[in-house]
Amino acid sequence: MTARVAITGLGSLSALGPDIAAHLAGLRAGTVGIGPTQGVDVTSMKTKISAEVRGFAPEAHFEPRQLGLIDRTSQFAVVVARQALADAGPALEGVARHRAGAIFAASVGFHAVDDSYHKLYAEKAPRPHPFTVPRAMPSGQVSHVTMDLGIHGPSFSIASACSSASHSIGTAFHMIRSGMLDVAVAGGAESQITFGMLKSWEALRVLAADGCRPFSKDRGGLVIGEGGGAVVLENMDRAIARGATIHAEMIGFGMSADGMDITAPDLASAAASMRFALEDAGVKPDAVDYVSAHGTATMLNDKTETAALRQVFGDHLAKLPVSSSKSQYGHTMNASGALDCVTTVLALREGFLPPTMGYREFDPECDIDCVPNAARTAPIETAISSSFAFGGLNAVLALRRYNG
Amino acid sequence: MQTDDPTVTEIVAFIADEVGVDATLLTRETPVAELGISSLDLIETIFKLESRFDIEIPNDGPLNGNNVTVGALVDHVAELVAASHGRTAGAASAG
Repeated sequence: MTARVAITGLGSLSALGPDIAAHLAGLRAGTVGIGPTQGVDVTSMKTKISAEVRGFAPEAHFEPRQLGLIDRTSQFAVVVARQALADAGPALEGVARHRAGAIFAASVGFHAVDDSYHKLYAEKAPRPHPFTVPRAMPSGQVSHVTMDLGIHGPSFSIASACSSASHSIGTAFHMIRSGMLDVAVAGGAESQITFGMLKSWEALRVLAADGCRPFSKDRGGLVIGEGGGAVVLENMDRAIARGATIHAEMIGFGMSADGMDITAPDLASAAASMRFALEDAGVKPDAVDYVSAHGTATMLNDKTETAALRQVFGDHLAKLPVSSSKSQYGHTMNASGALDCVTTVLALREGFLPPTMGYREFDPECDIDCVPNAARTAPIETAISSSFAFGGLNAVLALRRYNG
Repeated sequence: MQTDDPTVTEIVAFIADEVGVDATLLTRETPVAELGISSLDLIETIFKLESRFDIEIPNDGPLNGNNVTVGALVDHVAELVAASHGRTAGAASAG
């Protein structure tokens, strides 16, 4: 017996703004949240831009005693999880302790690592801050979410680089569908905007100098973003019975591993993960109305992703809009799958196609309708959200509009 | 690659060692892509060249593209090394 799975709560925090209302408004307006980096001194860097969360005041969300223990990444996770649960209403009420879970991306607390190691190595401090370990540990964000929301069932972190949040949401979906859980809060948060990580990304030579231009022939690489996204997933019958607002239905999850290269993507494997998501959902490729692409704006990702889309969708690709919201809120790494899932749910619920901003020039190797530079109204029913991570770990979520 | 310039000889030897090819087999026309190294290996080789010769190789310079030859790589590194030496000499005389 399998249960249907409803999405009853949404939360987001990114360069587009502090909540779902700002996220939706930004997607519709084609807002680009990328700008000069302010949180880190980038004087010594060639890459001066990023997609930062601006105006985030931690003290508005946490007690002073909590703050020393919560890295910026975990702060984002807790804030978006709170938003999602507030949106879902009393989703946890009456649920047995072991039947409510939390699954979030695993993300190192890079700010804690950067700050503490700088003090040790550069300032010759005799010891790092005593909370460096709890702030840095990759499971920190999900632990803080469980503490904050009062979740006591299956809870853990998933690490698969830029697919981490998609794997987390997909795993939670499977756990509800199989009957193991009634409710789950899932997603991911990440902030890699530290001096050490920005320099490290720059050294890898994948960063764009002037903007994020997915699928455009003149694209120059990715733009680092930060933020978080969360969804409340719930057994559909239960959600209907309690009168919850259902934003969309999650219908499928596909995964694959390239088993090839630690950074370069593999066409066949990316295609397989999309196909598996559709098979899992029982949806034919030509029934898909929208694809939220991985779309990092590196030369290699976008042309490989386009070729994979062609392999899966064939002639249907000519009529299938595919966009990359990373052009708006940057590549938020381990959070990206959650933010893209939220974006896809909003697109289904509101009936519009989020744009690919920054698009300038047609690339024959990316011959898709990428919804260039402006959102469009479209009554879409079925969509997928793709994550293709460094190291070839792929996760694709399939979603359907909920028509009541 | 035949050359009288000791800096170029050193750069060629360094690249040959990095990619595991006999320096005498590297020609100016050989595409870097055909050296049997991945794009990641190339990024690491560029990083090692930067460290070895104390230079900074920009992303958007002549090495940006898919058809970079060994000659273009060597010339670019040699120019940056010369410019770097020029800066040092200038600074010394100015001081």
